[in-house]
Amino acid sequence: MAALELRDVTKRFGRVTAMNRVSFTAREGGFFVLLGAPGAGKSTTINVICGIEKPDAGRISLGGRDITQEFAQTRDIATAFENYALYPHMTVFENLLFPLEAPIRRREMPRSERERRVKEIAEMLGIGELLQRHPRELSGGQRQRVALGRTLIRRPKLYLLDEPIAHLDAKLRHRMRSELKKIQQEFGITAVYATPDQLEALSMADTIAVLHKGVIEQVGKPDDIYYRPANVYVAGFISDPPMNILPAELRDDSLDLAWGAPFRIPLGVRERRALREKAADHRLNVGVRPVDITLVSSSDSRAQLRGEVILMDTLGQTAIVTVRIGSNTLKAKVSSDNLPEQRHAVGLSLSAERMYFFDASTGRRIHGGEMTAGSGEGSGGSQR
Amino acid sequence: MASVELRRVWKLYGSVEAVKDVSWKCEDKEFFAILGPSGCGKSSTLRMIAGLEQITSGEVYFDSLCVNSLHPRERNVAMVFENWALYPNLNVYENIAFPLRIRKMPKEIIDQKVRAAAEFLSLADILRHSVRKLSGGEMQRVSIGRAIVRDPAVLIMDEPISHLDAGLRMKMRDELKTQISRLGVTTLYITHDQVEAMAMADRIAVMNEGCIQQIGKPLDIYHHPRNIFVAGFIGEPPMNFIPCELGTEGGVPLIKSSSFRLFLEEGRHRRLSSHRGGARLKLGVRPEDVRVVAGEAPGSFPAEVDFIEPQGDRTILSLKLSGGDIILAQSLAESRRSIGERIHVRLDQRHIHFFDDETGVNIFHE
Repeated sequence: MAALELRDVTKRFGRVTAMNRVSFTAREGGFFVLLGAPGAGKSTTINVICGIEKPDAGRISLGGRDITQEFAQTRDIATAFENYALYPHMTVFENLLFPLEAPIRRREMPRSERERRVKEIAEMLGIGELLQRHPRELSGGQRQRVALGRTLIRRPKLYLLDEPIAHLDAKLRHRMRSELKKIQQEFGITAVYATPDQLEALSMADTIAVLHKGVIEQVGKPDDIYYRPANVYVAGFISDPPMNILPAELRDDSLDLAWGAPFRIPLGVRERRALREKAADHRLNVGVRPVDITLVSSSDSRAQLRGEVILMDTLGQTAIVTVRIGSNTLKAKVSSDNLPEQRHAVGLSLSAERMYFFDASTGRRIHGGEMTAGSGEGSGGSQR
Repeated sequence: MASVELRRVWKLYGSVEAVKDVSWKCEDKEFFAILGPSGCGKSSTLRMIAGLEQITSGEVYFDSLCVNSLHPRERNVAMVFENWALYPNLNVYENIAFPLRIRKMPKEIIDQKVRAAAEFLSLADILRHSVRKLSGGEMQRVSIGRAIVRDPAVLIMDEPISHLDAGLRMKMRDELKTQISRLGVTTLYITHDQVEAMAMADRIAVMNEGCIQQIGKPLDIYHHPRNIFVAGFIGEPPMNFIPCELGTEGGVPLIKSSSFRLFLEEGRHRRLSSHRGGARLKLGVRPEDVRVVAGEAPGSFPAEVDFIEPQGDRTILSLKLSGGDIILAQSLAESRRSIGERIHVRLDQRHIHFFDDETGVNIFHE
């Protein structure tokens, strides 16, 4: 297995730049996730790595070997797409055997060895009982395992997975996430996985690269991306609902939200000093995650902001409450047991420790977000 | 505006029963969602209401008027589709005016109505813009404007936002909900996405295999699912189901599964012991009601951490129980657990459900 490295890879389609100087390293034996909205350039990146597309500039290397100009067939990379692309007329056994039946493989491996490999891989994937079935007789999850098995059997240097479980229903998706991750770890596979789903990225990746309009916005561990987002874009993308962004101006002892009415956030000495050093023109964007907002009665002394409840989405255990403050809105994610009333005044309590501060012109995070998550299991229950 | 009522409606395509004996009433100005997986009969239902499909048997009423024999045009139903279906060669004004023009309304009245709709939907400044250059949100509003300009009896929306990516979908959901509640129009909203239905609707009708499974307010359905289908379809991550049997020990009812034995709290076991169905049950518990506890305690049972999904503001643990069942547990905090770790879990008895293994019916709901 080998590390994959992209250096300043650019790919254009006519006037559209699908990848703009993309650089990253996928660690050997790691699970690397390319995360981005549709159209961000994920699939182009996958296609460039496996050799379906040729980059216009930059270098791609696999295990230290430059493969930029190599043909797809000789790159030793396996790719799994969303539709499993199994041969419908072949049994599971034949599907798994297929990659070993290429003339070059037949020469280096006797039939008995090839069949042994098929059985071994089928056992590991828990599909040993299904070898004589046809794909149409399998469930979605089983089919995916066969598709995986077929790529695993060749033992390539790198696995590319392009939204492989996007179409599965919620229940199966959880199963498949854990299965994929386990297989990857067990086999010590180097995987590059493309997805638009931030939850999938957070829960599976060792390393995440956030792509946006063909540019890498940030590369980091899931914790880095969530708790230390590099900029406003990443902060907004990694959170459901997205982080609230409030334009603000830095005053002597407070932050004033630039929302017409004077909404003030009191600041401690340290924060004030830190912000003053870093915010060149005193203009900032303050980021607050919906989960970090507490709703209180509008007369409560903890309320730093006051507004009117305009929307309430009850999702089950939690609800998303949209509050209008002046001509702007904020979203809070709260327990659905204790909901405010629609069209009523409500107070919002925000804690400065849970805020992120971004430079208003560059969008870069300049302060906040250093802390890690609170601890204590089962706190979800205590909110009921 | 009007209420919409279905009375014992059936739809057969040959021998295939697409809609089976469906009855419900959507009140005037209600936001009513019809929710179900693909092939559940929701689209056939809406097509019968709109008059695009013959009703095999049963009646559809708008207020007190049976519309079975009315032509689609006479039913005064407005539809909004997934792709907005705007006329690309017409500007915003003409798109909204279109349904009135084909009715040959006088010019002044058309102008008045279009401007009123545009004002209401904040489109007044872009009436002369080509629809090609509009943002998604603006296109959605134009599409709604065109639907409401002729004062329809009912507005039908067929998966209007399910094709959008996550970020945009949420924005459009907010906007749709805001506009509809301001308009106060009877709305039938068809979707396969339970989050959309939960977040937007006053009431939801859950459908599966042509039948109504349950009708109710979002949180009622969430907390009191009538059967195993509804329980598994609503909620994310989905509810856990564990096969179990009802027995007794020393005269006290006891739930036995291959992974644990569970004595029930007083009120609960009385309900369960009066259950007359089979002894084989499925215990249903939502991931948020599975608690990891410090150590062995009454009512707890062992489990092994099989997988951990950190998701930012919550963590989902896959737990392998001693009998081989895998269940999900959710906590709203970062997990300090590691894969392979042996832990103990407890189920929140106030929030567990029991489903008859044969009928799938929620025993506490009978």
